[in-house]
Amino acid sequence: MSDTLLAALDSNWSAADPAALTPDHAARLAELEQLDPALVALYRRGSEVLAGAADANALRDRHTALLGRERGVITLGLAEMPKLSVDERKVRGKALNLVKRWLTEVHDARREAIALEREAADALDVTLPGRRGFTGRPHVLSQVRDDLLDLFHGLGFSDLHEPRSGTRRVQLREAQLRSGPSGARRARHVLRGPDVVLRTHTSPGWVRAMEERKPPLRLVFPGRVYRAEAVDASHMDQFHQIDGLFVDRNVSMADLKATLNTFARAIYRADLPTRIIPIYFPFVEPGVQMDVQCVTCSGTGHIATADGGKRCPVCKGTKWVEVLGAGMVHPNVFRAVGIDPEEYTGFAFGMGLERIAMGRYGIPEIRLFLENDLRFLEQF
Amino acid sequence: MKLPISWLRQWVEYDATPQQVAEALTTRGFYVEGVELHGRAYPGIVVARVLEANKHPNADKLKLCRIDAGGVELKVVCGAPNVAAGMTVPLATLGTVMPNGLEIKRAKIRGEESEGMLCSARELMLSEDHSGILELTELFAGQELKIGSPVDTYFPEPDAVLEVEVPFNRPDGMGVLGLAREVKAALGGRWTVRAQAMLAERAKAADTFDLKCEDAEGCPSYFAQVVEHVTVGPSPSWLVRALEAMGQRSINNIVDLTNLVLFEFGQPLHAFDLAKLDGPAIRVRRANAGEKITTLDGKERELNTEALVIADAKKAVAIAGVMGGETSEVSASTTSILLECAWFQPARVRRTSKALALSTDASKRYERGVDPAIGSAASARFLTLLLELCPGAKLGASRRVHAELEPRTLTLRPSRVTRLVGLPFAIDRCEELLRALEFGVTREGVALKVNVPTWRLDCTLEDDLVEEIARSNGYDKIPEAPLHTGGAYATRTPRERVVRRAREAMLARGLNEAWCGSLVSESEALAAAEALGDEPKLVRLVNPMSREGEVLRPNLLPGLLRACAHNLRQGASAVRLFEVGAGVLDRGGRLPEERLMIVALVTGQRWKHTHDTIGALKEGAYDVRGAVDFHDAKGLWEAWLSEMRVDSPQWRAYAAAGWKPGASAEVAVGASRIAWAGTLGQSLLRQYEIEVPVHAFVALLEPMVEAASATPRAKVPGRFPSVRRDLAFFVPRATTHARLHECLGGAAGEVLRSIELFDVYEGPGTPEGMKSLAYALEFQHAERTLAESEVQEIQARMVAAVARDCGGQLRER
Repeated sequence: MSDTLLAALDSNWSAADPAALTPDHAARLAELEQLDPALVALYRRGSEVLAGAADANALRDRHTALLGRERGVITLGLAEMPKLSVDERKVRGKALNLVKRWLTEVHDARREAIALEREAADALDVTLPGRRGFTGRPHVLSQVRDDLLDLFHGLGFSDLHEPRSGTRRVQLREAQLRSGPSGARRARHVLRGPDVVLRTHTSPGWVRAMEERKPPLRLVFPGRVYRAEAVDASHMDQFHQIDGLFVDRNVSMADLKATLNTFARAIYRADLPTRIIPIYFPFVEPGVQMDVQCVTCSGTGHIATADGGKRCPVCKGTKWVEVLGAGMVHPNVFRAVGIDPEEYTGFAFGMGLERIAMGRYGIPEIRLFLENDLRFLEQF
Repeated sequence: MKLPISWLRQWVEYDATPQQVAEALTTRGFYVEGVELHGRAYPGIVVARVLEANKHPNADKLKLCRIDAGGVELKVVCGAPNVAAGMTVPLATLGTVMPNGLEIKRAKIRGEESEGMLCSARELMLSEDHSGILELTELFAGQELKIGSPVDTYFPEPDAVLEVEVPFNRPDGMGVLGLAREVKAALGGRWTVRAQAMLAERAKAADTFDLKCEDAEGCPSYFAQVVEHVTVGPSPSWLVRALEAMGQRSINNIVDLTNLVLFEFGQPLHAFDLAKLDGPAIRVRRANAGEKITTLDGKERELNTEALVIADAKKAVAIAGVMGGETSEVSASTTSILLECAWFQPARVRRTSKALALSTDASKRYERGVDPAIGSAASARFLTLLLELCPGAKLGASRRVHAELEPRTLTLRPSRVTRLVGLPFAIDRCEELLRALEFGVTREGVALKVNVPTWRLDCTLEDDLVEEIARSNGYDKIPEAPLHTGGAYATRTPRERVVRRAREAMLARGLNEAWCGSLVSESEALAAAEALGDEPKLVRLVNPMSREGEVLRPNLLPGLLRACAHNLRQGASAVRLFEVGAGVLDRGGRLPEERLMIVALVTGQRWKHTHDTIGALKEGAYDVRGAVDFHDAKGLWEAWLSEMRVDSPQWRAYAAAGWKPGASAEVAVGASRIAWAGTLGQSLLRQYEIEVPVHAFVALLEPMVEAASATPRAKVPGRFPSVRRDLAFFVPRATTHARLHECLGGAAGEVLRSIELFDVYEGPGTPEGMKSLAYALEFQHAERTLAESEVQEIQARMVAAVARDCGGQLRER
C-alpha cells in the first residue's frame, strides 16, 4: 500500500528530519506502527520531504503531491478504500486521517519557518541614518525671554511692548524724573537720530503705562535697548532687558524681595543663595541690587587650577554675581505721572537677558548672541 | 575709590577684620569690588652696599660697581650718575620681576658682566624720581639696615586696600572721611582722638588778599591763603606711601599734600605759584568767549562762556574745579604759594568737564557735589601738614568768600518706613539709625524732625531717609511677603501670542531662530528697503559707533543676510534662519514707524541627510539630494501661512530690485499685501559676498495680530460620501495655476470640497503653445449624497469655464 503511494512522490526530493518541526515525531511513528503499519513508510517519507522543502515553491509542490485535493497521496489512499474489508476500512480510514492531519501540521510548521527565514534574510541595517529633514532651535535669548515671561505671567504680570525709539520729549521727561545729574551722565550713552532717541532702558515703559492705566498695575516690559558703546567681548551697542512694575496700595520691599527670590529660584536654582543690597538708581528709592552666589566658584571666590588655584574670574573673588537692579518707585516718578505716592506704593525691577543667559549656560562672550553662528545656536 | 585700612584706622576705632569692613560697606550700598594687599611688594630686591664704583672700561656714562649683597660680592653695571662707593642701595637680584614686569637677567653690557640691577625710586614705583639710585638710608632714616636682607623687611606691614564702588549719589564717599563715617555707623565705631582734632580744625581767614568772586552762582565759596617761604621738594616716605596706596604717584611735597587732602576729605585743593599770579589777585569769573588757557597737561584749551575760570589780575590761571593752568604751576623754584579751597556749582563743573572732554580727580568730585562745609577743616589740615613739612614756611595774606548754608530739615514718619520696607520700625530705632549716620534728630509727636548733614546732598525727601534706615538696618532683615495677586491676573498681549506662534511655526519648518542687530549700514538698508518696495526713508543715527551701524534696519533682511554669509564662510552646507523683529522707517509721523515682521532665509541642500544614490536622474526630475529651489522654499512659507491660519493667501508675481527676475512673489489677503517671497537677486547677495541662491520670505505680523483676536466658529464635518475626480486641462502656456485654480473653483461652486494640483506637463502630446495642468477634485454636499448626474453637470460647467476664461480645454485620456 505504502509503496504504491510512495511511488507518487519524487524520490529526488530533499529530506530533512521533521523532529525540529514536530517534537513528538517518534511517538507518532510508534502510534502509526500500532494502528496501521502499512502507512508508516508513507508518513515518514512525507514528513521528511515537507521538512526538507527549501523554499515556498518546493513546499507548495510537495504539499500538492501529498495533500492535494485532487491527486494528493492521501486522496489516492482514500480512493483505494472500497477495496478493503469493513474492518480494514475502519482502521485505514482512521489512520489516513491521522496522517493527513499530521502532515498538514508539518507543512504549516515548515511554511512558517520558511517565512521567518526569508524575513531574516531581508533584514535592514537599522543603524543606517534616516532620511532626515532640518530641525530648528529657538534662539538662546528667546528661551530665556520665554522662561522669564512665563514666570512673570505666573506671578500675575502681563506683558507690554513699547516702541524702541522715543521722542526727545519723552527722553527729556525721563531725564527730569531722574533726579540730579545722572540723566545727563547717561545721555552720553544715548544713540539718537535727528528727531528721536533710541531707548537706553526698557524703563520708559513704566512711565507710559502709569500715565495710561490706573493702579493696580502688574506689568513686564521686554525689549531691545541701545547704548553708544564700542563692541567687545563684554559690551554691545544693543542688548535686551525686561523691566517689571508692580503698583498697588501697600506694596513694600518685602513684596519686592519675595518676587525677586521667586525669580532667582525659578530661573537659576531653588537652593542658590541670593542677597539683596542697596544701590543707587535715580528712579527708585530705596534702590536694590540682587546678587546670586557665583556659580563658577560655588561662592568660594577661588577656583582650582594646576598651580594651586586663583581668584575666580567671574565674581572677581567677591563670591557674588549681580543679576538685576530694582527698587521702590521714586515718589517723584509717581507725582510726575499723576499717582499719589501717599496712596500707592510700588516696586520696579530690570534685568538683562544676556547676563542671565551667560550665567546660566556659561557663555563667555556677549558678541556671540547676535552673530548667529549655527554652531552656537544649535547648542541650545 | 580706594580705601586703605591703615588710613581708615587713623579716623575710626572699630573692631573688625578688613573682610568684615568690606562686607559691612557692601551691604550698606558701597560695593567693595576687591581687597588687595599693598606694600612689601619687592620680592628679590635686597639691601646692598656699593663697595666700589669705577668707570666702565668701554662706556663713558656707565659705571662698573662691586656690590656687597650680604656676604656675596657681585658685579653690577649701572648708569646712574649718583652711584658711589659707600651708598646703601636696593639691588634687584637675578630673577627678580620688577614692579613694571621686567625680569632681571644675567647680562653682558658693553662687554662687562652684570649680575643684577641697582634701582631708582621710579623703578620701585615709589615716586617719579629717576635722577639716580635710591639711597636707602634716606628712605628708611632711623632704621638699622642689614646688608643682604630683603628691602620688604623695612617697609611697614602690608596694608589691606579696599576697592570701593561709590554710588553716584554719594560723593561724600569719594574721601576716606566719608567712608569712615559709614564704617563707624556700620560697626558701632568711634572717631579717634586724631579724627576729632582734624574735624574740629578751622582755617582762619583775614581780609588781606585781593579776591573777588564775580560769579556767585558758579562759586558761592572760595578761600585763598598765601604761604610764604615754602621749599618745594620730594615728599617724605609716609606721604609717598599714603598716595601710592590710593594709586597716585608722588610729584612734590606741595602737590602731594593737596592730593592727600583730596583723598582724605574729598575736598579738591589747588596750589598756585604766587609769583606767577599777576596782582597777586584772584578773580573767579565766567570765561570770555574764545578765551584760551594751557592746562597742566600741556594742552591749550578754548573755553566757552559757560566755563568758570580762576583768573589773576590779567588772565585765566585755572579752569575752576577741573584743572590748573601751566603758567602758575608749582615748580622747584616756587617759594610762595596760594592755596585755593573752593566750592563750585556741580552743574557748571560738569558741563565744562564734558565740553572739554577732561575729567580729573577734582572735577569728578565737584560735579557730584563736595561737602560745602568741609573746606575749612580740609584747608586747615593742609596748612598744618605743610608747616610740618616746611618748617620755615609762614602764612601770608588770606581771604574767604562764603555764602551761608541753608540747613535742610525733613520730616520722617516711622509709619512710612514700615509701609515701604515691609518690616515694623519703632520711632526709637529710626532715631538710633539716623543718629549713627550723624543726622540731627528731634521728636515731633509720632514723627521725627531730621537735620540733614551738609555732606548728604542726596537726602532731599522723606523716602531718602527711609532708604537710610532700610540699608542701615540691613536689607537681609527684610522678610519675604507671601506672593499674592490681589485679584490681578496676567494676560498675554495678542502681539506676544502671535509672535510665539510665528516662531513656533517657523521652527517646525526646520529653521533656526536668529537674533540680529538693529543697526546696519546705509547701503544695506537702502537695498533691503528697495526689495520690499519701501520708499527708503531711513532713520539715521547722528552719533553712530561705526559705519556698519549708522541706520536702523528698515526690515530684517540685512541682519539675516549677514548671518547667512557668516555661516557660509564658516563652511555651513545649508543655512536656514529666521528672525522676528521690527523694521523701522520714517513715515513722517511723530515717531518712526516700527513694523513687526518675520523674515526667513533658506539656502543649501533639501534634506539634512539622505543617503539615496543619485543614479541617472531624468531631466527635470526632483532630486532629493539637490539644493532648495523656489518651490521647496514656497512650500515652507505656505505651510507657515497655513499654521498661522492665514485664510486663502493670494500669490502673485512681484518684481523689485533685490529679487531674481521672475522668481519673486507677493502674498495678499483680500486687498492687503502681507508677505513677499522669492529668490534673492545677485546684486543684493553680492553685497554680502554670497554666491549661492538664497530664498527669502518676509511676512508682516501686525495684520495677524489683528486677526488673532477673532475666535473661529466650529463647523461640523460633512457626513455624506464625497466624489473624487481627476481632471487635466490644456491651457495656454502663459496661464497661471492661480488663474485656472480660481476659474475651476468659481465654476464648481459650494460642493467643491478640495482641489489639489498634482501634475504639470509639457511635452509630446501637448498642443503647440499649451501646457497641461492636472487637478484632483473632491465634491461633497453637506446634506445629501451627490448624484452622478450632478457631478457630470459640475464637470461640464468647469470645462466650459476653462474654455471661456482661460482658452483651455479638457485633456481627454
